[in-house]
Amino acid sequence: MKKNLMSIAVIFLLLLSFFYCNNENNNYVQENEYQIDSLNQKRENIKMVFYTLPTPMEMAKIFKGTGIEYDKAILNPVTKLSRYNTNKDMAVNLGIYGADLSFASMFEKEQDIMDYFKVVKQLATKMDIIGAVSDSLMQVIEDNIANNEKLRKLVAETFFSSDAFLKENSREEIAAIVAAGAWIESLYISIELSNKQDNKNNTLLDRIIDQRLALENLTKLLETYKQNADVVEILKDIYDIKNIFNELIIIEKIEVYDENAGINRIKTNVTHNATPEKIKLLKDKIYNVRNTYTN
Amino acid sequence: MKMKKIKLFLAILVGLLFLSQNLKSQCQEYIEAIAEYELEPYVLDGNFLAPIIYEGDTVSLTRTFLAGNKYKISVVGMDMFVKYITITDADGFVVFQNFPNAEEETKYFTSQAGENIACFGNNFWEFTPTKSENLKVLVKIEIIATKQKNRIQGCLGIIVGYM
Repeated sequence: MKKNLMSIAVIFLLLLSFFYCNNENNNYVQENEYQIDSLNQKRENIKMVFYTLPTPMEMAKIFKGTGIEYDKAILNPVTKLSRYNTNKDMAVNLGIYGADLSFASMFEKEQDIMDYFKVVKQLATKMDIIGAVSDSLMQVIEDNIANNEKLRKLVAETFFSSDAFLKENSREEIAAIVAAGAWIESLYISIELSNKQDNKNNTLLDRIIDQRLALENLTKLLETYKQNADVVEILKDIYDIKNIFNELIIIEKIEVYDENAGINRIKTNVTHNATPEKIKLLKDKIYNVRNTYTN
Repeated sequence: MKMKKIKLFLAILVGLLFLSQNLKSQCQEYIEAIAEYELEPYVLDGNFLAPIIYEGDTVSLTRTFLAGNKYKISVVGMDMFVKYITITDADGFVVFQNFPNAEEETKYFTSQAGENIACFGNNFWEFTPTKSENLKVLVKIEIIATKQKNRIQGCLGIIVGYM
């Protein structure tokens, strides 16, 4: 009898810990807005907070719109794949290769699309992300290699499926690292292309500085998983980049009347303060971080 | 007798665990299946966001929207409930509300199958940002159940498309 009770207690504790771990790893911050006693009441007021940022394909579309041209030489070579074996390296480079794939796809470079899809597939398989890039999907890609619109949708679906798989299997911190890698690579590509082309491309510069907004959300997303050592390492780089971005803008607060709320509110006006020296600082930092991740 | 009760309790606990995992995967399948269709002709952005929540819960998503793109934000799932959507800018100014006058608007219609479906008020918003900005999407699910214990759990998807 005693033995039975003991084993039941052990099973119960194991189950409890499983529950606890699952909750701890959820991809949201649970904020209790009010102090309430009852557990049921608490559930009612739970607020789940999520942060997301534009995916590389979306950023590639914006950057393409500024008139930049494609250059394969700046992408992370697919031959480097075998170097990525730790969890952090695999996750961050899945994001980096995903961004490269998005750029190749946006600029309709058929051979590069195939090469980067293959490398994304291999990396996803290595990371046990099941179903994101299946053999049948590779066949669909080959069959539609000349259909640009379809290809872009397939890239988006691949991102969506990987993200869903990671989040639904309590690997949200990996999804956050993938997002960080993708954001760094997208910014790296745009900066590198802006260097090679017209330095007076103000629209491109504006779009690059706009990335401070995505950086805010990326920071909050990563901060959700501060208990993960890999995330903490990446956050150090992210904070450094954020400090440089903060130097590129001037924030002005003005009071305006909010018609919906019927009260005066503070409105934030942001203008750019990007001198060539400050832009160089940003470029150097992005290059440095990206090279650390890819080499 | 006591042993039987403990075993029953454990069985229920194990059952709940499996149910919760099953609900998660069903939710993923459901959102993946409808996302592309729901956003057509916009391209799905690739971010998966589909929490499992209870009626009465509130979910918030902060996302960067880039100048130069057109966007559609769509809230799907939990179809039997009214979903109150409020979108604000970074300073808290409201830029969209699907039920600005919530109390005055009819919230239900009856489907051919005889079900009450809450679909009055748009569950989506299409817009073209004039500047890049971070917007906060706040979704509150109405409460139908009169007792806490009767509250229904479901899957809510906030999906974003661009073009």
